[in-house]
Amino acid sequence: MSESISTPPPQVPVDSDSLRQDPQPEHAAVGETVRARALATGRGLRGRVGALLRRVPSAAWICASIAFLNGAVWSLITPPFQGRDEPAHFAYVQQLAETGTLPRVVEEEHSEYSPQEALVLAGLHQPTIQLIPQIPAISSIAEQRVLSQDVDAGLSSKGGGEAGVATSEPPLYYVLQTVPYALGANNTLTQLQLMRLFDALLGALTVLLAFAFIREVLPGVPWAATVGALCISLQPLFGFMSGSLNPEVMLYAVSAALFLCLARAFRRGLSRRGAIVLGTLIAVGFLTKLTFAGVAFGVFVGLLALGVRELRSHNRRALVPPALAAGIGIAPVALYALVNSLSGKQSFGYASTLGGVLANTRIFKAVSYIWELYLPRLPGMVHYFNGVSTSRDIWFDRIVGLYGWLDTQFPSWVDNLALIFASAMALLCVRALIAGRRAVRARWLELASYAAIVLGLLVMVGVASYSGNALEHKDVYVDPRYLLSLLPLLGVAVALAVRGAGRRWAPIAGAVAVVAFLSHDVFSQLQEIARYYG
Amino acid sequence: MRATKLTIALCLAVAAVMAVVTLSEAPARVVRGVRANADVASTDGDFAACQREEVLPRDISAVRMSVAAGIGPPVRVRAYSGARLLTEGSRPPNWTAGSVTVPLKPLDRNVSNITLCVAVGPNSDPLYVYGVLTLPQQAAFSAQGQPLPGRIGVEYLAAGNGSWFSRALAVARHMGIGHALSGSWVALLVAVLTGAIAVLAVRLAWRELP
Repeated sequence: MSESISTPPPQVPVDSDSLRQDPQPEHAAVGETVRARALATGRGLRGRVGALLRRVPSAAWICASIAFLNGAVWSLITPPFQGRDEPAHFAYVQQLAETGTLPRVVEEEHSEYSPQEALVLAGLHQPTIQLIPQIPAISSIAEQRVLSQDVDAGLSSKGGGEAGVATSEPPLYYVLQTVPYALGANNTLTQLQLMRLFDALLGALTVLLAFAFIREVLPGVPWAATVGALCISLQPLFGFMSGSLNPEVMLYAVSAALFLCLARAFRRGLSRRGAIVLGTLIAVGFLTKLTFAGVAFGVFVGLLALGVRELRSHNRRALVPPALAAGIGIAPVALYALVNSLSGKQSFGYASTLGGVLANTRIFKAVSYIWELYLPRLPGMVHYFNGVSTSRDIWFDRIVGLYGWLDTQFPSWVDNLALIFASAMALLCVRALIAGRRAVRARWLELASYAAIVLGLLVMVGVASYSGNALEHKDVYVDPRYLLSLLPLLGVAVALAVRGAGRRWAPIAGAVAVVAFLSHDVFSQLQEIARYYG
Repeated sequence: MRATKLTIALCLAVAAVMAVVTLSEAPARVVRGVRANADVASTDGDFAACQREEVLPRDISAVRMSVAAGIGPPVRVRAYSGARLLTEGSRPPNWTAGSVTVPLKPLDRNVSNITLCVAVGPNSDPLYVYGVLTLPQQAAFSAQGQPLPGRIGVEYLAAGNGSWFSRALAVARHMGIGHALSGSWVALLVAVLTGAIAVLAVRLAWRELP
């Protein structure tokens, strides 16, 4: 923090145990000493990274290890290419690795995938298994023999240039995935398995960052942060996603890192170095997935809030770091738009197309749709989701359990049971917030920034769904996996709920939460095993 | 500290009992039915249809209809013998994918010449009904009495013969097929890794919780 040019973070009144802030975080002081020692001995960057890693508590490493193992288990359970949109994501990586070019929309008639991938998909009966829960994965020795022949057929790995639904996505995640692809030695199944394990690593990184975020936000009771991070690492939908090939998983890690950076900035001020890290993370997010735009909105609100806070303290120079972060973050988007404009294409590619579609609609209809996608319909709104309580039936139930290619669910009674548990946790969480209301008020700018991230993401998902469902009359495709970028907030909610149980009952609430998440994970895996191999 | 450890032990015991109970149950099997292979109807609204000459096997626990939706609306299934309601069942919204399974009250005998009726709604999203194409006189018919192009795909489910425990080896063998890693040992690996996750999580909670 020696480079920080901002004013010291405002002191938060300590009014309760549950939301207490440490005025001088112990690990920050230790970090300064370690850093100074590292520099003095000339170890440079390596030494500083080593010191940074040594500062990570062992509980965080254990939580991250659990997340990795969980992702690995899900990667072994889920049949190849039964992760959501996996064939398209694989095709994108293959296109990059084999031709060095990005996928593009191809007008002429062709197969979306390379002959080799198409043959393996056929050998796995992939198109007939996906979305049809009564059809299990291939099961006979004869089918396995055919699949082995398909894998070894040595057909061309170059496709027609498209990558299905992934075609319009930015390339960064896929560039990274070319490494496990190359290690897979031309065996499609091995390549996919290694790519899934890479995602499991990203899942572990997400939990590591979420752990740090929870500790940063709620430093008063460290073990509650451990419970929060442990519950994230055991969340089964997160495990399922971490065990499949999907750029969403990298977005989870980027979002967790952004939450951590914002929390540190609000607590300790935004240094130039912090601003560069934050800006780089925003840029990485934009280069990872289009839906990041929703998260980015909230992060920019956070930067604005940091700027406002500095202005209040009449320190105009302190506006530089937020501006620097925003500038670095927006740079890839600006560059992309500039290149497109110069080459006569639409400035923002697919986003421009989406914008064009939305421009021709009435704003009230779009707002109604997005509202109803999450909340009960208000009088005067068009009925978009007849017979469905979206918050309960779509979002809650599907977070409780929707695996495979949106085709593996729990029976309804499990959702009802989970609702009781979740309601109890929510009540405890509210209790903790009420008990710490003075601290909440003092940190309202920070909390507003997190709320803006939530809002931005919800609106982004809503806009995409409105465009496809209401305007183009396609199936409603809403998937709770889009919301897993908010996992760090789930961890905070769990930690708060545990603390909301009061000093005496908090450890017991924590123990119940951990075993509940663990059981949920194991039963979800059994559900998936029953669907594909039962 | 003691209370926390006791809570962990108690919760784990409850979870273990639930797992044993679940795995002692027999998975559902198809006892009768027709797999869909053609489009029969599609709509953006409510859907209701009946089809005659169905046979309801005894002890069925559910019926699986070939109806697809992104966000499935509520579904109600009724089985009539003449005008008499024999059995019925319903499914709340939020089913998804290419079929919907509706639990039914079981019958104690096979009953033939049944009229099976399905009502889906209220609905405002795309809904697809699949089945087999037939002559109009054999086809399902809408609430207005209009014949559809064929019969709706219906499969009747009943409890299987063996529990999940008794099928463990078969499931393990199946898990070893169609993956990068092949062989029944994959199931063992999954079990070992899951055990490791449980041990790490419980030990961490044990150590950190006051």
